[in-house]
Amino acid sequence: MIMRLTTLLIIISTLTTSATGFSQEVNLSLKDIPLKVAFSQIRQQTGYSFLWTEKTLSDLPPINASVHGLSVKEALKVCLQRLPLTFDIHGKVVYIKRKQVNPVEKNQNVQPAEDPLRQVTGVVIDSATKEPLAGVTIKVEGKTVGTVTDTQGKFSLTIENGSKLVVSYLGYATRTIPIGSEINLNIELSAIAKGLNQLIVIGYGKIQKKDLTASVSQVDGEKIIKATPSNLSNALVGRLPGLIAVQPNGAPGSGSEISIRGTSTFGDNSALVVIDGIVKSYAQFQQLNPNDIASISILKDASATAVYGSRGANGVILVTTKTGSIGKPSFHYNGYVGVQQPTLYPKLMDGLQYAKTRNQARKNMGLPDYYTTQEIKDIGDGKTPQTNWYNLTLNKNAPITSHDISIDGGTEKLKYFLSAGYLYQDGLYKSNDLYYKRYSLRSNVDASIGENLTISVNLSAIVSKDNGSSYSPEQIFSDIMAAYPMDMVYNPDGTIFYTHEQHPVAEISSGYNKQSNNTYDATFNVKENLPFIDGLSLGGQISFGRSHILDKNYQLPIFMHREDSEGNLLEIYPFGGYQGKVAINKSYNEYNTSTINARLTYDNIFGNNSVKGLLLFEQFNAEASYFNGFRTNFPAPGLDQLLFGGEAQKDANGDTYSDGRRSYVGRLNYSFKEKFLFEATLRVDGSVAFPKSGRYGYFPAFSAGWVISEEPFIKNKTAFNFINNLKLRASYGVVGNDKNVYGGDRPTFQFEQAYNLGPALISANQPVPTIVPGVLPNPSITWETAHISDIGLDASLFNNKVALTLDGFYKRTSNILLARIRSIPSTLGASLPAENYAIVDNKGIEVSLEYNDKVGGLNYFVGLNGSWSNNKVVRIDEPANIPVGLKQTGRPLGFIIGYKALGIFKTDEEATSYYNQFGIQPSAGDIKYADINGDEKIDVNDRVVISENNSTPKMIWGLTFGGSFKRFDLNVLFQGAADVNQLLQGRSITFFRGGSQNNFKYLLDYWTPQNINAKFPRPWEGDNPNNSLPSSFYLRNSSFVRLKSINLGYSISPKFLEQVHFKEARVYLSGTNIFVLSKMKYWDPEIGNTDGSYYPQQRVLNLGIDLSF
Amino acid sequence: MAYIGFSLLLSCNKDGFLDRKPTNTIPQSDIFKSSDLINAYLNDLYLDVPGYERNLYGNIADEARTYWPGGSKDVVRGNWGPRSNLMAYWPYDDIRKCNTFLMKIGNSDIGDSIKNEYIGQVKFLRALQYFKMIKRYGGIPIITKPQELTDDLLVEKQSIDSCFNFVINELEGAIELLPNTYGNADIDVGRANKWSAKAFLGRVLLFWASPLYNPKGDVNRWGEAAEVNLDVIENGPYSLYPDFRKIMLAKNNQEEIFSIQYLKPYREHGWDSWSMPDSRSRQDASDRCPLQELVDAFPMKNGIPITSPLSGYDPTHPYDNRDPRLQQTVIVNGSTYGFQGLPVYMYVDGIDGIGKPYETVTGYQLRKGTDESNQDYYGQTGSDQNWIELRFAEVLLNYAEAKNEFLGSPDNSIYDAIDRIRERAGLNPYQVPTGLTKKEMREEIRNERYIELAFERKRYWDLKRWMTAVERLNGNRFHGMYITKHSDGHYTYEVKPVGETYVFTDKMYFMPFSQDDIDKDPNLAQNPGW
Repeated sequence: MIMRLTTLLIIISTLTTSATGFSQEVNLSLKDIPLKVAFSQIRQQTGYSFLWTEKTLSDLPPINASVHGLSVKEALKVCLQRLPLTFDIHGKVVYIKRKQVNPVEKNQNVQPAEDPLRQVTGVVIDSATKEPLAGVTIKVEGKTVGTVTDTQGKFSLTIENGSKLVVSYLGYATRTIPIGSEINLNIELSAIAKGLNQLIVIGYGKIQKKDLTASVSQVDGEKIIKATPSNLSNALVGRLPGLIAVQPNGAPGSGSEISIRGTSTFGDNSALVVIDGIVKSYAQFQQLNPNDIASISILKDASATAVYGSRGANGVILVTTKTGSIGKPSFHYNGYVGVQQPTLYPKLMDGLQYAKTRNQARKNMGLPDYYTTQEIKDIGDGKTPQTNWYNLTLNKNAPITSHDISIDGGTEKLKYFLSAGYLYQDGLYKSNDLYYKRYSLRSNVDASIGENLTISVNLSAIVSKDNGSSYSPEQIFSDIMAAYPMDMVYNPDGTIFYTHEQHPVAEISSGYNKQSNNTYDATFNVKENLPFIDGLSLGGQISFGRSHILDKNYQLPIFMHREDSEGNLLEIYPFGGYQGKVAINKSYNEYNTSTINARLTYDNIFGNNSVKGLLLFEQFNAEASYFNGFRTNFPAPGLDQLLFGGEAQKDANGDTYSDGRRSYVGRLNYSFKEKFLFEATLRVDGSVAFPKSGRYGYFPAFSAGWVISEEPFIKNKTAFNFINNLKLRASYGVVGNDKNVYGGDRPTFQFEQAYNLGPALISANQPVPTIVPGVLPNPSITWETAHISDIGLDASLFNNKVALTLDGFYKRTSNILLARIRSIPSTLGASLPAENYAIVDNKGIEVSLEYNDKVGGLNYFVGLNGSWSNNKVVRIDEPANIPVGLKQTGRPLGFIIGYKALGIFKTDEEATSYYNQFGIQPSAGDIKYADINGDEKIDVNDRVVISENNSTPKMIWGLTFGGSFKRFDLNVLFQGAADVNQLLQGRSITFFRGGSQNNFKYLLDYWTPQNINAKFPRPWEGDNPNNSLPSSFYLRNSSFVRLKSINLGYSISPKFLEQVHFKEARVYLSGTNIFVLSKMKYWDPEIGNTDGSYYPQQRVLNLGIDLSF
Repeated sequence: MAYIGFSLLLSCNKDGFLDRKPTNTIPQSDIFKSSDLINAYLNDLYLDVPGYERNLYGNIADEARTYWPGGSKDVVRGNWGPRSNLMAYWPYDDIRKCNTFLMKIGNSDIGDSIKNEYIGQVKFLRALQYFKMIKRYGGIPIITKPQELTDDLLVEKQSIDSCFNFVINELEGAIELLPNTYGNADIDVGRANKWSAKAFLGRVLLFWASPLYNPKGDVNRWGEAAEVNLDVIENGPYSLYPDFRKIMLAKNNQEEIFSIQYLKPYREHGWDSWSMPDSRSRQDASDRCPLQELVDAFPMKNGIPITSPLSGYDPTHPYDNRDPRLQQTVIVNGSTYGFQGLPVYMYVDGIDGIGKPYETVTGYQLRKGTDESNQDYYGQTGSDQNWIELRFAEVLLNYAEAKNEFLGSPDNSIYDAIDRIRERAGLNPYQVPTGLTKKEMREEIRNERYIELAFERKRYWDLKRWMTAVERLNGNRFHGMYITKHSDGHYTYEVKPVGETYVFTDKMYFMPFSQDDIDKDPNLAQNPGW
């Protein structure tokens, strides 16, 4: 089939390229154009000459006509339909003449039914507002004759008797009106729910929501920008049913982890990202300037994603950037300044709490006190100095600011959207070394060249800079927790105090890590309507993407001055850096892509039948290259260029790789009477990552929709009047996932046995090379395949005030690539290859409900959306002797295994009368565990699944509401998650991790004989063999409700603005992560690292202004 | 315009667009064609032999304890088993590499002599890896061909004897194939040759004869072990290096038989860093603090144990007139250490005093093998001494032990072997008193092994193979030295227990297989007691 298509296209292109430039068909779009001009356009397009006399055309008004792909004869009929003109064609010459008054026509009142042609005029108005509608298309059913209403909503048209007029207007229900004897028509059109005519961006095209048979959710840029997101990914959560987003940290520049419809496979579950038609990385998506976004849609079911074939199984995020609109240039500025602060972060113990707890811990361990009574007293009295490392390292607030300016405008021929953006997001470090900056430029230009050809050029450049000290933000938080409260920051002489290990205050300004991430994209889009077949067009895209990352890491040791109590220097201790030395590692990473596609689209209506088709060829190529240089042994600190490095221990390294894909896509849509909708798609994907024999994969999908509201039993029943639109849709298809044969962007070629270079062996006092075998090959490796069924319902009710969408899906992912490490004994001695082995079922539901209304001057809306999904492993290799209670089969992915805790032993009697736990008789204050296997002792065989949920929520929901009143507007988003658990571990539950580190204050509620109802077990220095184990004791339900974003605006009076030549001005207050309600205390429920060593999520408050001029 | 674009597109639609090769790997098909790549493959097998390790094996017997939590402390407490065993060693990936090499090398067209040399080395390395496992687990699965995923992968373990037989046969085969020398000591010490294979066989046979692996007490095994070790002593190219202190520092010296090679900055370890007292540490310190029991095992310079009233031992000056190896092995309070040439004060409340964070837990630090001129030490790096896996002194001790066990009473050759070691140590007189019974000689030899080979990862395995671990370790708390400095500058000494009470039960003589492997392989029977 592919071959035949290719041949056909070659003939077409040959034919057309050999044509002399004149077409047999006419395309006109005329508005108040003198007839002569129309003739001249037809002549230019077709080569036909026109002949007329001046008298013939005198006194005639200018005409309006819109003609696509008609013959000269048909086109002239349209042009002349309301005029007293007629024409003859001889050869290539058109003769224009005045109509002869026909005596038979004069007798029309005698025999009106036989009158072949007559003129009707009319006006089209909105049924609700009674305001005229301009630009409404009026066509004679079954004919190509038609016109468009003028600015007063008026039209006039010459029709045959007995015709029906089809009146259609974007956003309004199309009406078909039989014309009797009326001459003057008053046509009312009723607006359909805003959602229904919304253009939904889908793979390789757009479709009106009413025609959609797939499961797609879309959010428009306006809503995104209201959330003032620093990272685009943070704006999507809670807005799109089916989208699961978790924001695991709040470091500058960081975003959310997004998946669509939960977890369906082992390994990578992330969605494919497509920006303006081109596949891009998730990192690139996160870098986008939110002000540039027109819409983001997520494609969920197979019907929507199958056009992305081998990469569509985990859903697709489609981003469309803004384009220009017709009109004068409009300047738009949006900017804000704000502050950020941690949403929740627990306090640490102070010196006295630390000292007392430590003595208690040592008592529990049978060790002598660490602090004498006098020392404790001195700490309590403040005689012993203490350091609050948190306060000395981190500011309470960090600023954030964003400025964006755009220009948008154009004519019918040329539209442009140009924008420039800047974002500065500071971190909490006192040193001001931690920040994220982003500069972005975009130019989206659409040009119509001639009647049939449109070219769009999208250019984008984004430069982001990540700056920090050579210690990562996570490391610094970890070190703040570890720092000892009785250590000093500086010696009395101002040198850095010898803390032996972590020193957060010095770490925040020690060395640097600078990353500059540059992304440039250029996409050319061409579309040409083919003149010889109505509705056929040929198009293509060429896109180049280039991203390069320059990273420089300057490691500088912290020179701690160890002094004795008299201030004599004992040693200068170089802590950290590269083995106590200064070092620089600089790397350059480049990834260049080119995507090229060609497509043939068809779109036409035959009576009740509407047909659309797409044939597409796409080819993707990527080349990546990396190198780095490393030097150390610098002569002095501060010489921070590679060239200063010493001769010893230099290193240089580099690597390249490439990727390629070739794909063929076909799609066919058919609808009958806009009531029955069908779609079929097929993608054939070839990829370099698979062996030659199985390189191509086939991914088909089918979907259908039934617009029930068009059925007479709904439409004609007054009882169902409240139903404006009701559509049932269903889809089924097969989609692939190849992420797990890629390492990032790199194809892994797992079908071949490969060897890698290993570290050097020393032989005869010289380094000699080594090679090590890679993973065992899997010669038949292929795609993971997801079979997705989806059934959905779209409804608009109560005068379109209510919009409802329901979706249920069932997705079976098979051929999941997984190494059988669970079952194959390690005596095999090889790294196991991924095999297409496992099967996971995932099912879920999604709901979206919106309500819009108006009360007096108040326009308001409420929207609720929710999604729930749950997965279950159907097939995985299980170890031969695994206990049933720990099997993965039949359970969701990522369940948590641990001990079942029964509480804390409150008394010694309770502890001594219980079983031995892990070889020790427990003491009061220890955690009591359930004896699962009944062997009267607690050991590793008593582990069970303590939670089938994990840190990825199975249910996520959003509640938005807002509205406008007078000049105020409000937009609020509450977001929540449920069926989500976190297992606290490490520092967040352990005392003195490592023996001497500080503890979180909440751990003070530990067991003592005086506090037998404590929340935490008795303290211990470091891991306690009984109390530090993963157990239900530390399992937290981290369901939450969060005021995710709020935006309150005030629009300044237009009267005032006119004086300063502004069109619009709106000031706003916005905030994100304002508060969170959760059973999980002390920590943000989305905590990225349950040890606590992570950069906390930030609450952001902004003051902003939106200006148009 | 669209047509032009489309035509362009079709013209770039060449075959082979999707034929790509990985750029960061070498296909297997290339490897056994190139002698350079075969060499690189072989080099990697040497890299698999463990070299330095930070602080586990030194701290799990009666040699030392450490400040650092976890790790060795769990072993001492007996807190280990099938689910967590830091001593676990299961190098079937290394064995697979050897098996693949032996399978593929046959078809390569390098010359036969070099091929045999390579096969000899790989057989040696594979035997070495297997022996390290047998030492731990007793019987294990012996796999000699690279398995395919379609093979029956649920393997069984072999008996202890058949495992030993396999290793012994392989080593004998390797000895046949290997050259006497590569003509360069720097290479000979880093690669297996005929003599290193033979010396290693001597160790394997000694283990096989030892009570743990020889429950029926087949005395001929001792004889066989003695014979092979004697062959190395008499006919091999090795001799004792004259300076005990510098054995680990004089790279590739005449005493080294087989070493894991290091060279800064390509391959480094932290031996010097790990021994530092906190006052001069960089990111690590006090990893092995020698126990009083080890210190006490060193005799006086006159060769008489300190427990003997004739020794001249003075408990108020415990480090005076001792076997010179004591202070070459242990940093004692007040002795100088490190490139700064400063003394280390480990008395209670001294700058590096016992019991402080990151400081000694026994009143001692480790000096053996450290390079005191090293200024690069940092964390796990900065040192490049070779890890001597096998040295001539061990062969002498292996011989002495095997021969003593083989004979009814010790002969001169046994005295001679021990005396050679004591002479090099600088004892005066160095001769072991004559007329010892077999049992007395056994104790003499065992003590000599304890002090001569301290911190060379021998002691734990010796206590196990002699089956004396329960007696020596279980229920014991070992000791450190608490030193008090008085105002007039003199010290008093008090021995106190330090660290955890040791738990070593009978089942621990053979380690358990990892629970993961037991879970996966129903044919793999767990060792008794676990």
